[in-house]
Formats: sequence, structure tokens, C-alpha cells
Amino acid sequence: MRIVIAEDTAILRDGLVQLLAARGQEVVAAVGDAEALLAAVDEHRPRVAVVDVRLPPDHTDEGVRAAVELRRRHPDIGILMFSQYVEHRFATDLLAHGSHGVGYLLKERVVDIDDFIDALNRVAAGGTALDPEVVTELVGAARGPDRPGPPDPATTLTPRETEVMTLMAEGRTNAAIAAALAIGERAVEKHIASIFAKFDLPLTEGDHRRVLAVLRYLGVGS
Amino acid sequence: MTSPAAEKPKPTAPRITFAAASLYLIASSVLWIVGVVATSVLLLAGVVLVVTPFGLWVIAAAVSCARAFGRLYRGLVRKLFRERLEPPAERTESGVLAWRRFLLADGGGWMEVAFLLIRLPLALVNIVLGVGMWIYGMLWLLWPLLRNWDDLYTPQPDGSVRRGLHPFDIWIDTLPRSFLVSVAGVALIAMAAWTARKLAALDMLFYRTVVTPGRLAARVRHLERSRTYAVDDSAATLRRIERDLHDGAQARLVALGMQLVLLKDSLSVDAADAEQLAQSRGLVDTAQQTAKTAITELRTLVRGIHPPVLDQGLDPALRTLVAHGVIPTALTVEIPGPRPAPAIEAMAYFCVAELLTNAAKHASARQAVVHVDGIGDRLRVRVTDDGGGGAVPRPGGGLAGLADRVGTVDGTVQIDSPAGGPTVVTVDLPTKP
Repeated sequence: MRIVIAEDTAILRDGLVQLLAARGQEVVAAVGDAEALLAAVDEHRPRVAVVDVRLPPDHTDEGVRAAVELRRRHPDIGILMFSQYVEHRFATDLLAHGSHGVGYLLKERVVDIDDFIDALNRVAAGGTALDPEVVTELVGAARGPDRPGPPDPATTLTPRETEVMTLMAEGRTNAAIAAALAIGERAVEKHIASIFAKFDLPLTEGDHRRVLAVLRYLGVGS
Repeated sequence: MTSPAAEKPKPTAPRITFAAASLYLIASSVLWIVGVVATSVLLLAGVVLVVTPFGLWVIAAAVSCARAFGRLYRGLVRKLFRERLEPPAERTESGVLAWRRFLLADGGGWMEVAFLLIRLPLALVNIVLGVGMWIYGMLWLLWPLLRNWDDLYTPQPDGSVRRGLHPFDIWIDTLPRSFLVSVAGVALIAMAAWTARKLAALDMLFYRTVVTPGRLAARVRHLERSRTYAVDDSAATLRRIERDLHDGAQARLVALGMQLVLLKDSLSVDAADAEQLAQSRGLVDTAQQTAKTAITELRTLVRGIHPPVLDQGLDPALRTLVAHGVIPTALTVEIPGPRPAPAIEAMAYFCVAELLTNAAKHASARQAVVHVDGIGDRLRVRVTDDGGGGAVPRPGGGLAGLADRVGTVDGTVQIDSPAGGPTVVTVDLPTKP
């Protein structure tokens, strides 16, 4: 898979390139700042871009802003944000443009390289890959006690449904969820159907309902 | 340089010369007339316009005008008498709305307005007595000359007209007699000199009473300023630590994780292969190096936050610091009394660290002397270097930051750094914060 990496810490950038290459991935460009990232993506048209949240010059949210710009220019290229912390405002900024082909993972997840590459594949295929920490943070922020609006359907989820929902938000397939919770795939499907009903999501084509449920659960979508 | 805590108004009477006092009376009168007219007009206009959106702005402008007068007035006093009048509190926020809010609620600014307005009687006395006595004194002194141009003709009962001054029924109409007026003129000028000095002193006393914040207000101001600094400084420090961890040890540990993945991969293939084995060894070396670097970075970071050796006391901590220093440094520590508070020890330690770094970096010193003294409830730290000198605290610079930091515990910093050196910086700290 063709990948572009934007990471300013040299030791991490080199390590990531080496690691992905060892796993048969094709890193077509590895750059250190947002401008170089946009140029590299324009030139190489990768399937996915791995982008550090903090990039020079100010090391705040340059990566997120670059990702939003990337999404505008090339909606078909998957974006995986790469960060040492869950900075939930940034995750929200990114998801506000839709969760299609978007991921947000903590840097330490690369140590489980197979899961990491799995996440890259999901994002490249238009799915999501949210770090469990990101999901927890976003849900926590969305379920603040003073949150205005109508009663939240998420509060009516059973504990089991919440577990399924969290894994779904991470971008797992039904099979992966079943394996993670040690239950049957049929049971997972049942829980998901119940979640859709509670979120009042209409029947539509493909994965769209899944994405909508995740966004509602995270309190990002409308 | 001395931090604000040490600035106390000098109670000694100002040295006021006659020339300076006379100049002062004239200049301050002119200044006052301009100031009071401008401020009153703006103030009145503002009050009239207060029903419109412009009213408050015009009133703020009036306060600003009074402040400008105060600045000029203080400048005048500084120029003529070398006397420092403490200014009212300065604005700290920026922006136009902050400007208006500050001026409207600005006690110091309103005191300047009050000074301008209440000074009316004093100003009149100044003009009449100070300026008047001087003018008349000169006129009288020069009477023997001026009498030739006078037009003092007094009709007499007998119908004739007599020319000349006649105070108290004494006719001064001859040249010898006119010298009597000169003598009176000299006396008047001498009196004017005395009066001018008294009036100038009274004026300044009045300014200090009305405008200059009292000791308590000055103290509050110092505390506010140093608290703001302390809060900003600790936020900046935390941010720096976070950045250091993020870019340093944390990144290295993630890299270490990646290197271990590669190592594991290399071990999972046929381990008997010699080439494979060499590659694995190389990966182990890299991982080891990464771990070592991470450890070193963490240690450096921890030392920057709080050197562990400081728990054993200032003496061993400074010895370690000096031993690792860039330039050879002689150290003496004499603290006969009880140990200073930990916060003070830490502050003294970081002051020495920063001053030695400055000496090596900016002054290109070849050696330095550090002397730490405990005297009663004060801790005095003196760092002397043989570098190029010429160190001055600039706003936002290291030395100003040092003084601000030391000011948060009511300590002071004195810098003696003539061009060409040597530089002696003395930090005086209380032993308890």
C-alpha cells in the first residue's frame, strides 16, 4: 500500500518508515512538516497519509489543519492522525468533516504493528480507526453533565451494547468485535441492530448506518 | 538593578535650588493651565455626551489627558530637582476596550484628574506669589533705571503734579532714594527664592499625597505583578517540560518499541543464519542506544525540574552544579543558621545555574566565583565572573526574568557589570518565602 508519512521527530519518522517497509508497505514519502505533506500527497497520490498532530512551526495543531486541507483536496485518500496524546478537540475537528476514511491513533500503537497496519488498511478502504482512548475521551466529552439538548440515546445502551459500540467506533468489523468480546457473530449483529434502533437510524445502503451510529455515539455528528 | 520590592520613596527633603524652583514655578504653572483646561473641557464634554455612545470614550480621554499631564509633571520634577515621583498604576491589558475600561476604573488616573482640579488654589498661589514676587522683585531692583520711564504722576492738593513712588507717604522721587527700592527689590527676590522653594516642595508633597499610591497600594501592585509573573512562569515551565518529554523521552520510547518490533521480526526467521544474527545484534545495539538516550534525557529533565541532590542541602547541590559547569568556579557556602526553606534553596540554586550559564555564554568568562552567605533571615548569593561585563536587564531577557522570579519571594537582584567587566550579580533572598 502506498503511504505518505508526516512526522517531525526524525527518530519516529525513520522508525516508522523502516517498520512499514519491513511489513511490505510502500512508503512513498516521509516528510517533516505540513507544507511538504500537502506537496507529497499531491505528487504521489498515496492511498493513506499518516499525519502527526503536532508539526512545525508551532507544534500545536498544524497536522490537523493540514489533514483538513488534505481531505478537501483529495477526499478519497485515507488520513490517519498520529499523536502522543488524545487531543480530543483535534479529533472532533477532523471527524466534523465526516468519519469516512479517517483514523486517530496514539503513536504507541505502532508497537502492535499488525493492528496498526490493519488500521491503515481500514482507513485506506474508507473505514474508521479510532484509538480506544480517543473513543473514551470523545464519549466522555460528549456525555458531559451539562450537555444541552434532548435526552441522549447513548445513555439507554446496555453495558454489552456500549462495549460493542466502542469497538465499532474503533472501526472493528463484526467478526473482530465478536472475537474481542468472545461472543458469536450473530450476537454482535443483534446488539448492533438494537443500537441502530436506539439511535433511530433508518435503513440505508452499506456501512452508512454504522458510521452515523459512531458519530452520534461520539457526539460529533448531527 | 533592584527589583520593585526594594523601591521605597526616599523621605529626604529634595535639594531645590532657587533657579530650579523659579523655573519650576513658571513651567509647572504653564503646564497646569494647559492640563487643567484640556482635562476639564474633555471631562465636561464627556459628561454632557454620556447619553451617547461617545461619552465614556471622551471621559476616558480626559483621564488619559490627566495622565499625560502627570507624566510631563513628573518629568519636570525629575529634570529640575532630580526627584522621583512614583507614578500611578500602569495599564497591563492591551486593546482599545481594555484601554477604556482601565482608564474609567483607573484610580491612579482619576487621582491625576483630582490633582489637576484640586491644585487650583495652590496653582493660583504659585502664580501670584512665585511669579509675581519675582517680577516685582526685578522691577524694584531695577527701579533706579526704570524710574525714568514711569508715568506715576500724582496730583497734589495744591494743584501741582508730583512724579514718583510714594509708599507709606514717603516720596521716592530722587535717584538716591530710588536705591531704597532696589534694596526692597533684593529683599523681595530673596523672599521669592525662599517662597519658590517652599511652594515647589509643597506642590510635590501635594502630588505625592494625592496621586502616588501609598505603601500599601505599592505593595499590592508589586504582589499583583509578581503573582502574574509567577503564574505565567509556572505555566511556561510546565509547557516546556511537556514539550521536552513529548519530543524527547516519550518519542524515544515509542521508537524503542518500533525497534523491538523489528528485532522480534528478525528473530522469528531462521536464527541460525549468521547474517540474520548480525542484523539482530545491530537492532539490539540500536534499541540499547535509544533506551540509554531516553534515560539520559529523563535525567537531564528531572535535574531541570528539581535536582535530587538539592534535598541534601544547597552546599552539595551547588558543588555538583559547579563541578559539571563549563567554566572553573570557586564556591564558598556559609549558612550558619537553620536551613533556608526548600523553595528558597531551589531558587538560589537556579539563580546560580543561570548566572553561571550567562557568564560562560554571554560574557565569555574564563572563571567565576560563587559565594553564598546566610545573614540573619536573608540568604545572599553573589556570582562574580571575569567576563566582558556590560550586562543589563532587558525586558523579556534572562536577567529581567531572574529579577522577576526572585521578586516573587520579595528578593532583590543587584547587577554591577561595567563594560569590560567584571560582572558581580548579587541576589538577596529571604530564607523563608
